[in-house]
Amino acid sequence: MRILSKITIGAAGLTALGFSAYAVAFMPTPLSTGIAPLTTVVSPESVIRSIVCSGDIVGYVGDSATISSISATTRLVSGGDIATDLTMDSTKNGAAITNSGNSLDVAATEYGSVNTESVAGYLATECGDPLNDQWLIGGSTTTGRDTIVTISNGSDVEARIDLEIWGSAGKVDAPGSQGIVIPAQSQRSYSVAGFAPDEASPAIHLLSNGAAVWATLQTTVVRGLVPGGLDRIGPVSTPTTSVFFPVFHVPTEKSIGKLLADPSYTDVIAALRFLVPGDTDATITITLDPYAEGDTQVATASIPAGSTLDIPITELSAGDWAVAVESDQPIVAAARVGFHDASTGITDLAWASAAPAQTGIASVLVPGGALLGLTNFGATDASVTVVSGGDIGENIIVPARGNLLLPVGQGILTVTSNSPISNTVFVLTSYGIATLRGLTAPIDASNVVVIHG
Amino acid sequence: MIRDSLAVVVVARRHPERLSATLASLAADKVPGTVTVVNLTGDSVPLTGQTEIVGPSTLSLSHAVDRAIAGSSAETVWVLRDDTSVRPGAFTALASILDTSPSVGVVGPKQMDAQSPVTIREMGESMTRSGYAFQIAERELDQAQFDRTSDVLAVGEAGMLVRRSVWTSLNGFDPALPALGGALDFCFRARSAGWLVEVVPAAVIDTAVTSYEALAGEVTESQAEREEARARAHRVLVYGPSAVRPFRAFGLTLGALVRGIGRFLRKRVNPFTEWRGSVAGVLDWGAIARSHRSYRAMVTNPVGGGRLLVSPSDLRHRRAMQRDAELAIREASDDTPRLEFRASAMWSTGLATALGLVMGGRFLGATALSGGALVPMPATVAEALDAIGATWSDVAGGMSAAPDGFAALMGIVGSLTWWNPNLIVVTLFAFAIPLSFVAGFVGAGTLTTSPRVAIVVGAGWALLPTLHVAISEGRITAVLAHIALPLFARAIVGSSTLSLGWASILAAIAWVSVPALAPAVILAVIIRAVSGAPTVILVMVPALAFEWPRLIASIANPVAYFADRGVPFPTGAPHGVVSLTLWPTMPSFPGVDTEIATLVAFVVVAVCLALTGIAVIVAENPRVGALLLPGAIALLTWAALGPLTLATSDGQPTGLFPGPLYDVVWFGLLSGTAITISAIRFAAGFLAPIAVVVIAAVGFVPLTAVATGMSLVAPTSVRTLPAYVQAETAAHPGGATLILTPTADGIRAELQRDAGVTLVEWTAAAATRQKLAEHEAAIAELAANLIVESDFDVASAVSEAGIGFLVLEAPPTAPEVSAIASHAGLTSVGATDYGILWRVNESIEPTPVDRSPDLAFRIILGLVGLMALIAAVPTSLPRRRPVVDDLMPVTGEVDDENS
Repeated sequence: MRILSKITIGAAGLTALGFSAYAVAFMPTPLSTGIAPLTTVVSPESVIRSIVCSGDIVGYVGDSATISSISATTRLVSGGDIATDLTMDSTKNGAAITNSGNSLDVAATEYGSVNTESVAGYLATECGDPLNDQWLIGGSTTTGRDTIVTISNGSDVEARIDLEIWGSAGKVDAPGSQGIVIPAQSQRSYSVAGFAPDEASPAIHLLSNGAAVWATLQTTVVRGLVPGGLDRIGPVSTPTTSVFFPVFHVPTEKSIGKLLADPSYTDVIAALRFLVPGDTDATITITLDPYAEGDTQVATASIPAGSTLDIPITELSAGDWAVAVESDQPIVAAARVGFHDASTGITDLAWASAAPAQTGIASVLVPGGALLGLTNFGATDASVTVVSGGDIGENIIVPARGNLLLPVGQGILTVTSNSPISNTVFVLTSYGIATLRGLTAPIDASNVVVIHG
Repeated sequence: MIRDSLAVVVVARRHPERLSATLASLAADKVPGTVTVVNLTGDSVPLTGQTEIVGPSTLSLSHAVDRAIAGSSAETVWVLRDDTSVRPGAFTALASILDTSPSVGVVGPKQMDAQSPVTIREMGESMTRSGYAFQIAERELDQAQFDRTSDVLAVGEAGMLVRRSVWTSLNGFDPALPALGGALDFCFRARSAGWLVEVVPAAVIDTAVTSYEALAGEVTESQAEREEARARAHRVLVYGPSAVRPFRAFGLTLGALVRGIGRFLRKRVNPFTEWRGSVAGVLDWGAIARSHRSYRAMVTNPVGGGRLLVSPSDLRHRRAMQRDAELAIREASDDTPRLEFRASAMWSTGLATALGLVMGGRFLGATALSGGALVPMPATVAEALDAIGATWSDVAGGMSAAPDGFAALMGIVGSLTWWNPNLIVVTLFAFAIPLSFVAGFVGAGTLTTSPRVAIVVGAGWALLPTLHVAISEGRITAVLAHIALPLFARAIVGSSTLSLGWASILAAIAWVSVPALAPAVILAVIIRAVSGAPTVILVMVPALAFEWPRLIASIANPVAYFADRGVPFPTGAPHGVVSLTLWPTMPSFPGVDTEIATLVAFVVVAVCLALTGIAVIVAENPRVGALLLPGAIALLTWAALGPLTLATSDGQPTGLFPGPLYDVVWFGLLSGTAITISAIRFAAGFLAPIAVVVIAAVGFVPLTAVATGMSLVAPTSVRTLPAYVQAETAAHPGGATLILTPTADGIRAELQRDAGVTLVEWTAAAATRQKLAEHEAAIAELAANLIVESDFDVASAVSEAGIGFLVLEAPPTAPEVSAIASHAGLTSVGATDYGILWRVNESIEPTPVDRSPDLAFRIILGLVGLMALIAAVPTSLPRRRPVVDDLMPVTGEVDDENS
């Protein structure tokens, strides 16, 4: 009797367990709760977006608050007004521009060309949203090369800056690079040579406690007594594992070839500069995709952790290329291209900061006739609306893992995309070359998603 | 001569069938005089020529005697009942005393038990100074040990031979004492009137029942006790001076009440019987006054001597004997073999403690723990206790809701370490492994008496991933349930009040911590109630006392009731087929793919299930199969609730944590596996350790999570806000702090009041709210505008929400820092351990909120909790002698106690 009851109850238990297991595995629940995550999407009222411009072309730096201006830049502003001119010791240089209408529409660009005994070349750089954490890659502090970092604080709050500087031999122990104070609504410039003298490949990490700042690098080249090369480099906000240069212009052999015989002209050779800020060496794959007919070139390289590495790009046919770099570690990178006009004798170079992959509205002011390069590294086609110089918007498709090159005219250029896309504007003038990027607002200030804790 | 003028009165009431024997014994002993039978049976009785007087059945013994002797001139009365039979020589012995001693007014015989003729039923009575009646010899084997006794305070009514003059002058027995104590009172008054009372050991009669039973038939122990208490109250008040009577009455009732409470606490049946009797006696005011008057009227020689009253040492001795007898009866009835916690179990507990110290050593010495689903408890016990029945919660910007059972439970648990309520949480987490081992071991006692099986179950229980995932994710609810469940299983199969009390407390802990366990708990209770203990239903009362407000509040959305308690925290539990691995997360072993890990977990469950199938037959009792039923219900609960979003946490949907539900299944599987393994005689020695090692290996990753720093829980301070905020809010309470945390696509905004939100403030109502309150929308608006530069009027929005401080949980280089700083009305305090802190410039007047607790909840919970505690507190000593079966191994293997 006892064994019978054991078996009966046991069989009942096992059967019930079996039924429950079946229910867990295969039966959908008949219940519902109506409880959903609580988030609110808020459109902040009358958002103020301030973008900051660096100002004049700088000759030399006295102390950080005294500079000699070589030439004023031309500043193009769209969708905003100058709110503040930033102060130095006694002068003013640079400006903060505040939106007059929609905060997403404000854009500004500074450009200028110089041809003096000490500086010659062309620069054009976007003005951008201040950042607390930014990376500046480019320039050189070897003989004849000068690189100046300009930090602009357009806010009402003081900023305290820590600089970390890397070179080709590793991290540079730079005295005076910590705790730099940039007062509210002012600008300071420092020669990078002061922190890292005779450094062929500097890279700077700039951290701001307090107010966000806009920092740029201005680099100039004098070879012997001949000036030839001027550019201003904008920051990138964070190391990433994929880096894009949608326009990488390789000059013709005819224009630049004869310079290369002179060893002091090695820095007009196209190159990519990399820095791995982490502790692990990075293996990178560089994909060079020609806009003209031709084969895609792929190269791999190993980048040692903790130091910069310049990789010259030679043997490429002249024309426009799109460069994509994929890495197994977060990296920061910049691209350099050279320019020489045999007729005027002007030599120039341009540093292109990596173009971030962005969704939404990116705007940039184009100073003159230029080329817009778009890179879609995603797995699906991107539908992009490009509005140039007040034209009616053009809907174009950038194919998955593809690039597109468009001529654009002077004026405001907006690139609106629903999936991440990188853009670069390449400006080629008879005075020299420059690259610009269209940047989106740092926080999508029209729709802030608030999660309730 | 007595025999010349004797009236023999036999009162027949309840035992007419014995009357013939009584009359025959009188005839056999040649007792002279007239025999009058007072027939109160309401029926005819067999007589052999005696005089019969018929009376109503309610007539008292004393009145029956009065009627019988009314027409007689006899000078002596011999009082007998229908259940008494006289042994030869009894009358002669009694009569000779009265004949020779004129001062003796009343004599009585030695009463033997009619059913057991060698046992003394009664032989002379006495009382204590405080009025308790006291049998000089009671239910003792007659070895002539009392035969030298003669002068006594009183004798019993059966066989009492009394001079008629005494009987008449005292008016017989006091009518206020018809059932008990009449003879004692009568003899006491006789002594007070100057007569002597003697018991005559040579006179022997047999009586079948007591005087009370002779009057009322079958009486229960509590009826007798009540009547005795009533008689005592009457005695004390009648013999004492009338001036102090009210005080004595009060003292009597109070004393009886105190003793009643004592009996209640010791879980005796009918604890307040004595009190009820005392009250009845005290309230009979008229009778007391009457009896007192007649007592005063005839008293000439007050009984004050100590010789006749019982001495305190006698009393103590008698009571100790009584207790021993009770204990012996209880022990004799408790012969169920049970699992004993002996040397091998203690060694294993030591091992588990050592393992626990290695695995959870990081937690030792911590002031508080937080991380995952755990936030610190309040810093003081007062705040912890405030959570019991609290209707206001500062969570979600402040909301008012029904009292939360889990908050109340944590309030109570937190007060166990009243100097630091967080300590109990730290202890629970640091000692989870040994606690679970002991719980598993004790729980195995549900099914087995073999310590080896229990050790395997305990070890498995301490190593299960369900426990260790809960620990590393800070799920204190699941940890509590894991420890409570096996103990509940053990308690629910017990039948004593003690186990009922424990079962109710443990059921409440499991249910209140993890409401999804409620169906399994209810099923277990129902199975137990059906299988023979209906009172077990009461076990659910404490859980309901905790949960009734929440149950009522959940009527609108019943499914939401089952959401996990405490801080909602998303789970990584797999659904569908993979959840049959009974892992509360995706199974993972070091260096192995998830697919292989899942497969291994499946194999473990399948093997356990197969062994449990065998155990169903091998086991001592059918409980293995019964244990699978709650497991099935728990799994079914998971099937129904698992895929649902039951709460929201930081914008993420939060489902149920399945650990406790799997625990219910695991307990059945582990027990079954252990029973089967131990049943394999030749292999049990190595299979049992292998089983434990397999469980440890399978659960390796979660088991070592705390030791390797992979757990979300970590030691913290009690504070959840910067010290500056805490100091400021201590001085100006009511101010709120807005905590902003940047996320991938926006910001997380949380409002905390005063010193920060604690564990007891996280109510289910807040976690399962379906829509945002108005003030939450305002907070969202404020947060979104704060992190961008805008013209938004922060100062007025902040003061409207009562915000005094702002914490941005981000490094100082975050872009939000400058955006927040750009707004007017805020002063930066600086970077703290918790983030960047701003102070609002304007002083904030906090809006007062209604923080009054739900009194009904507190009262109900307090009363029910008190009852459960009284039931659960052991008040009797553990049994002294081992039951033979304890030592007998169930499956026949060599008992490892001997090894």
